[in-house]
Amino acid sequence: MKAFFAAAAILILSSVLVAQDIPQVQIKDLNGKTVNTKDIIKNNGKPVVISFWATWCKPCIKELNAYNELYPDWIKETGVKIIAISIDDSRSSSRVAPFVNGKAWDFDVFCDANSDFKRGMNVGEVPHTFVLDKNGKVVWQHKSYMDGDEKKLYDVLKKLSKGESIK
Amino acid sequence: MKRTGILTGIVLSIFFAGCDIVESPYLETDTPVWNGRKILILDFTGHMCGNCPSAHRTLSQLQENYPEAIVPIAVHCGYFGVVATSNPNQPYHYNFNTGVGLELGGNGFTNYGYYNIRSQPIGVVNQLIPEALSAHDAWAGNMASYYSLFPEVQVQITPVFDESDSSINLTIDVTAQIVSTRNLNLAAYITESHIIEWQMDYTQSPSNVQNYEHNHVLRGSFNGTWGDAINTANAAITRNQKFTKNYSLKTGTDWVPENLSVVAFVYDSDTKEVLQAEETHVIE
Amino acid sequence: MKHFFVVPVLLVLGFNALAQEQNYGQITGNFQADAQYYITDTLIGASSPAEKTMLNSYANFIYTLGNFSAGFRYEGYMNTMLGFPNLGGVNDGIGIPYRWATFSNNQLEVTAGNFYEQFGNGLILRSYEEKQLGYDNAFDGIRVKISPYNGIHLKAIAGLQRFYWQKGPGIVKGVDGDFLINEIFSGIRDASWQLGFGGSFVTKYQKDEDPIYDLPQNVGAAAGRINFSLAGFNLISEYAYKINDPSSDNGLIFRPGQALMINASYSRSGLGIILSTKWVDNMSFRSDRYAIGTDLHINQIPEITKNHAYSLTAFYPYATQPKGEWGVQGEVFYRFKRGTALGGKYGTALAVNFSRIQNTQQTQVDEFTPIGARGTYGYNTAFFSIGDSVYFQDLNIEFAKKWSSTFKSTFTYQNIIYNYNVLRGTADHETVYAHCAVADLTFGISDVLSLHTEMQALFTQQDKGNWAMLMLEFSIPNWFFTIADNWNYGNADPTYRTHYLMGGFGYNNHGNRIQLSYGKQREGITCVGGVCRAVPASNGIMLTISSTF
Repeated sequence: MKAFFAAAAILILSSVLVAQDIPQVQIKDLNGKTVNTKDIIKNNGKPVVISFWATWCKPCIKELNAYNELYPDWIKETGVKIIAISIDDSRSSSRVAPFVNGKAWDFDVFCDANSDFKRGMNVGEVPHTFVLDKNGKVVWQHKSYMDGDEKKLYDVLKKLSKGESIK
Repeated sequence: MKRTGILTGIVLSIFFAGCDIVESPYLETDTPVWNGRKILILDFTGHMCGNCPSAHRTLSQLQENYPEAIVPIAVHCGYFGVVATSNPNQPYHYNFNTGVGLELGGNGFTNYGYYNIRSQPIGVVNQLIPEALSAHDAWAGNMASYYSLFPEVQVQITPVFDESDSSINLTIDVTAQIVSTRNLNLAAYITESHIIEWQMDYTQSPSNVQNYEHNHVLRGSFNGTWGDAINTANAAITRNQKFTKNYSLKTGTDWVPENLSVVAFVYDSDTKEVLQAEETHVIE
Repeated sequence: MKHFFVVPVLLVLGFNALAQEQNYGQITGNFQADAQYYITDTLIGASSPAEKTMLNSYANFIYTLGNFSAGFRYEGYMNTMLGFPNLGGVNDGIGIPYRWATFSNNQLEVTAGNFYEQFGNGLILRSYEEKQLGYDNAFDGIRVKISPYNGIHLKAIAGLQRFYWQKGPGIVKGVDGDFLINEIFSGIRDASWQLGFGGSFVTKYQKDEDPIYDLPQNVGAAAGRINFSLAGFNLISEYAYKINDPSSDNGLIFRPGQALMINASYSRSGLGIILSTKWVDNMSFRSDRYAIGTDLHINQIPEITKNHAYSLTAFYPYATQPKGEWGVQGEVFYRFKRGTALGGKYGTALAVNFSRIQNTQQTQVDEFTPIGARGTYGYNTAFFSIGDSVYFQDLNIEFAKKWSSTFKSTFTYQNIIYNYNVLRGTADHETVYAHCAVADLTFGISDVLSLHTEMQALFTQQDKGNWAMLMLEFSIPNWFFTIADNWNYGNADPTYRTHYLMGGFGYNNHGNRIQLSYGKQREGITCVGGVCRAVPASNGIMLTISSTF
């Protein structure tokens, strides 16, 4: 048991050390069209935010509402692209689209009904948000959402867009 | 494109070929041969378990289809076997629990017994290990793998009931039918049938049934939950070798001697497989 | 056992350090451990097992290099926490129940080992894992995915399903095809309408050892689906048929099964409307006909109810009834724009949901055979028949508004009809009629401190009576503190008007999270996607550690 927790502690600490690629998985857009994750993250060398959410996850909706309000300002200052990945099952593309439109969110939303992308990114619970740098590598991530967390995300994006290191 | 089409066609036809549609009356046509092996079924049940009467009915059906081949024991234990009240005019006041039953199935609250009983009804067929727990629909299938086998041992129970001191004196003879080196244990329990008491039954309305007939209820044991070792250290057993054991027990105050049966079974103490079971009425 | 952990840790650190410079691939993964120390509390019915502390843990590792990836998951239940499926202790233990390797390029993807898969909407095949329920019906076998042409996606699988630390007895094989018309014919690729078809076929083989009944060894199921959208309209529909499949679930009857689902929706910016209907009869499909509970399901019928997130609105959740149900659901999402009367300065979101589920109508096959009699055809039912018994009805309205830069709120009202007998498997319980109201408020007190509170109330005259719930949560950067109380103030028996008080705190940074709580947890049911698990009452200390690396 002790060794188990020691190993866990080491792995936790190591998570801040390295930048990683995202897996290439097929997911669907809101029209039911299949797309590849490596294509949707293209953003001309600007940072990308990938946020995993579900229609039944209250903190996820709070987080995305907060980002939605600041999105126009963030695009102007950092050129960021926000991608929201819904992990709702089965009836995905039919329920998620009206839900998203009802909230008038401006970001790109995709459906990961089989949880392939979620598993490939090692996401356990949602919300779970990742930031990709200009090379498409994961450089920052955050779990759960508390009010004010969007400020932290903004700081990370600002630093990335200026080419500074995020530490 | 064409190759994919042909490939798809082949794949689909392989799949479509596997579709068994069964016509009425849905019964197996070949009847298996019985060679005398008697199969022990432990049914972990409780008087407040509304889904348990379905398991009791499955057991009755098996006994009807295979008279003499099935030796059932209803082990009252667990969460649904708990005594609900001490008031004898209220339902579920009767205590069906026994030391043996609680050791096997727990009390559903602070412990869950050797079999780790978390839900009822559940049972084991001829294998005394928690991994063998199965739902009552599967008991017929579980039993079928042992049904046609020749028994490795024969068990004969000779009970004598002494009315003067309400005691039962037993002689059990275990006779080996083949040569073997198994480590054997013999366990002897006492069960009672035709106990009329409350039982919850979700197939009835209202579900609290006052005069339910409880059968093969475990009442206690002659030689402990796991019985006595009759062959140890993998000693060689020859054909027709006989092991004899004597036991005695005092009956409980509210037991009806005419409804009592002795259930004895011999099992391999390493694999926990029951090799032969036997049931005899205390009073013929 | 100690050495077991050293290897993966060194692998991760070493590989990632090297991988930055040369291309040796990369290793990623996650880890979670939940532990609970149990205290006996007879008032709330909380028991304490012999081990005192129970631990559920898992860690995933994924290695990727170009087109090749492989991974495994370690799971350790030392022993399984109370309330998770663990009949006979079958779930306890440690090991690697999930391991896989995949090769993929633009046209082909092959996986060997364990995998999860879904065909269409899951009516005949859906394998997934949900750690909160202890649900995992992963396949162990092979999977091939081919896209021979634009817009055509084909899949074929064959394997056995996971049964705790072993495999189920049944062999499952399936094929699925997805055809997106607009991508196949490039001329209509950018048309304003989009149309897609799909079809799948799944078969399972399990030996018949029943000496009495002639049980089918090969049981096949087929499904067809269509997906159409034009401007803001979207229509999805799928129909499934399964041949005779006598099982513990349906009481060994020989009738076939069918399911139909239709979802229609309309959406444009600021408005979303969904109407769905579903009809299911005898569609429980497992790779072991005798399996019970959440074990060895091959399919998963999608739910037609709203998943509630609040403790009291989720008090009476619906569990999908694959034996037979009919349901209808309507949802409207609307956003009042900024500047309008109801919109206010920031806009206001309104969501209304209505679901109703009833049984199907069953009639006897002949005058001698009762409905559901073992070893018979079972019963007759007309396609899309609707019975008289209500299983569930949920009307809820949610109103979310941001009042200022520091104050946000969400108000919810729910009205529920809950058929307790059908949904909990009892026979004498009254149907529950309940109302529920929730106020969810967030205050930004300063730049770093925020307070989140929930005030909930459940009103009912059945079951345990009224409940009230209050939660307070303070958060500062990286840390949070919570305290919550569920109070059964309306219980008919005054001794049971208990406060279930729980407090805790946690740390959250990057991909890491640690949370410690202490207190009483009431007995209840937790459901995800229509699949439920009973949560036993407990009193004790809970620790959760999770990390993604």
